[in-house]
Amino acid sequence: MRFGWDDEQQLLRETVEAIAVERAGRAEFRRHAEPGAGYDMDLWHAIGRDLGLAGLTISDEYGGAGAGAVELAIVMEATGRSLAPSPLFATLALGAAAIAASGDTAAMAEYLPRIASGETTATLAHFEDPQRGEVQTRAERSDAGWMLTGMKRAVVDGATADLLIVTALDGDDLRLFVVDGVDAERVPSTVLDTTRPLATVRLDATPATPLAGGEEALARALRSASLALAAESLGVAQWCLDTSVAYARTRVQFDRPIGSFQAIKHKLADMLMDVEAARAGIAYATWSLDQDLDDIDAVAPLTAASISDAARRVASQTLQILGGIGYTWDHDAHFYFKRATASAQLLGSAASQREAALAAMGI
Amino acid sequence: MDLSYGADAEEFRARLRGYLQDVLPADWQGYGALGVEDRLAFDERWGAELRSTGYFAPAWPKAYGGAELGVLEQAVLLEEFVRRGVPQYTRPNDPFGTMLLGPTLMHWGTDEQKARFFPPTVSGEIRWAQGYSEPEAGSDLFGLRTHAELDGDEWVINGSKIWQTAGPTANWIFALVRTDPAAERSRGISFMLIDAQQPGVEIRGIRNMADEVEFSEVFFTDARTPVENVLGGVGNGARVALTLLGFERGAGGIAAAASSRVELDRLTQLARAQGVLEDPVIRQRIAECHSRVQTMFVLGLKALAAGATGAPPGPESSFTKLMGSEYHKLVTELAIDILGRDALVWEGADSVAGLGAQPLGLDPLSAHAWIDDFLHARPGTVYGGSSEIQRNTIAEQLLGLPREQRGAGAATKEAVR
Repeated sequence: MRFGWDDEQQLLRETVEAIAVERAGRAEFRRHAEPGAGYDMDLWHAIGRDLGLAGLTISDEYGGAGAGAVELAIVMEATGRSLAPSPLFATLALGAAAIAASGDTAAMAEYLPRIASGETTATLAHFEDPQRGEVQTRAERSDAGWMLTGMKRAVVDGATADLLIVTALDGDDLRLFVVDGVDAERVPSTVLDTTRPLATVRLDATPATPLAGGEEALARALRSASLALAAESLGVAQWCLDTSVAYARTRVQFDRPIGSFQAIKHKLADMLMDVEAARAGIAYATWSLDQDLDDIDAVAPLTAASISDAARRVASQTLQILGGIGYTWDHDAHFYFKRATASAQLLGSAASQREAALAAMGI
Repeated sequence: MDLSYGADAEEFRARLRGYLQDVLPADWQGYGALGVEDRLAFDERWGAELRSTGYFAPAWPKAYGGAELGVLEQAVLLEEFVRRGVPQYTRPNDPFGTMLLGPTLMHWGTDEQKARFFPPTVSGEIRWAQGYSEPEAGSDLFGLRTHAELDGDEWVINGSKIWQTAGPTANWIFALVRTDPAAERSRGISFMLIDAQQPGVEIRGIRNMADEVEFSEVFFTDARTPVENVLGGVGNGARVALTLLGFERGAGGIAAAASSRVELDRLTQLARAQGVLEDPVIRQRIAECHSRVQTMFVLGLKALAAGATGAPPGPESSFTKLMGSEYHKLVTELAIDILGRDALVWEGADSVAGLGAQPLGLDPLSAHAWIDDFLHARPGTVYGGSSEIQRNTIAEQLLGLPREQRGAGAATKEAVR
């Protein structure tokens, strides 16, 4: 039994952390926080293309590294810790995951190698309703081919992704489709979390190519995406904890560091437990996913929900410990706080994840 | 990363399951399902069985009567026992001899002390209680005042101890006693083994809020113990006591998570029977409990992995007690809410476990048992290092934050008065 990473995984961690932390430092995610700023393309080339992370979890049959959820979690934690602005999450954890989950080998052969090389970005355009995963977008088939009509909201990288994997109803069946980004009407959203661009995607008889998969493929893609997101949130929480501890040790009031006051100490102890629990939780859940264990349908959503809540708590307490400066634009904390807030809603609320876990347990 | 137990431990699991299948009655539903008479008979039989297999002390060397299991196998044993609803201890004082005194004796005892105390501890002839806390020394343990003076080849002990779990049934006490009045706090304390069956030792049961007498206070009035009954050397008591805490490496977290799962299953059955399992708020609270149990499980696994490789304990080893005790309050509060007005009346089967989750087989619909659990959970966040002390320790030792400032001793007491 070994809870730690092997040498390869450790090397991956060190490498990606060095790049993410170095390149995506303070100026980077702030600069890219301006509306319409787009990505740090240098960073994307460095990690996506040069380091091959764009194909990390894509099968080596399609030019990827063939790595699993454990490796993806390592990378996502580093990007979360640094709020590195890149299309990695949407492209790999959403778009590529949906294509792979569909099992449509023709589509996989066509799209995955382009994604793995870093030349094509992607995303999943699924959510319409703010709370539920219900879809109203309709797919119609004509002589000219398939066409989709509907509206998708809060699409990660929706305005810039080359490929959109879109969910739509074909009669009563939910199906997956590939839409060329340029064919859809895409409006960038003015977002709370400026470090994660979102867009509204309007489809109006938009041409689309059907994928083999439907409901089940979507569920599998969202399951792995939610764990990738949870790993990212762990990174966010780790930054928050480290920042809070550093501040508590150095900020002096009443002639002693504020970290010597029990109220602050106890908050930090709770935050440490949240972070360590998240760390162990994501390790176990991603390992379980890679091993395809029986109870993964309960473990994954339970873990995602726990970490979602933990990241919010930790980020919130960070603002409290930082006092006045935590509320300013100039301090980095609010970016992490907004990331934790937004991530907790992005793929479905913690409450809905918990309901899914109960259902999987037969409760 | 490999979070499986591995082939050897899984093989042990398979053998153990076979053994339990053979040794338990064919209609076994779990210890909790036994009536009072059957339970007494089972305790007798199972106690002997545990000693013959060495499973009463799975980590102990075989030379001491244990099963000498490795850390992974220990975890497997505890998991399987919990899953089949089989108790690890059959007598109230067993945990103190097995988990606390035994390992301390192994580490610090002379050959004579081991020969003198191991056999009767194993057989149950000596029934231990732990004498640490005092009325004036709870969280501040090393402020203890019970003291002993040397008289020839005996120590003469005066003072009192409080909160001994299973004190009322104990006949020996291991106690921290101040033997050097000039030394301060943790210095000058000795770890002593004291025969409670002498005129100078009086054990008085304390009635708890659950209307049980399961812990006690002890009064020493010129009680005596021979110098041979000091463990680890005179003046070394603090170190001896703190060593106790290092012995449990990993298997405990797994066992606690396994027990909590059994408990949560019982609670779900209760919710179903009470007709509230469809209530979205109840469902969310049940799911939150599952999240916490999953967290305790993975942290237990992490501690186990460290223990199995002999690696130093990680931060997770500091969280077990804190998380477990706070969780137990949470889940029992939920049980009270699920019971509704049924929580106002002591009806149904009695609880079996005094601390921690009830074993498999106990009627999930028994309000009596859930109310007992709810009450028993209250002091969980106080004893064994209160939640506040645990958080201080975590913040200070794991995050490097400054230690709490102490008052100025007698001057502070004067100022408060």
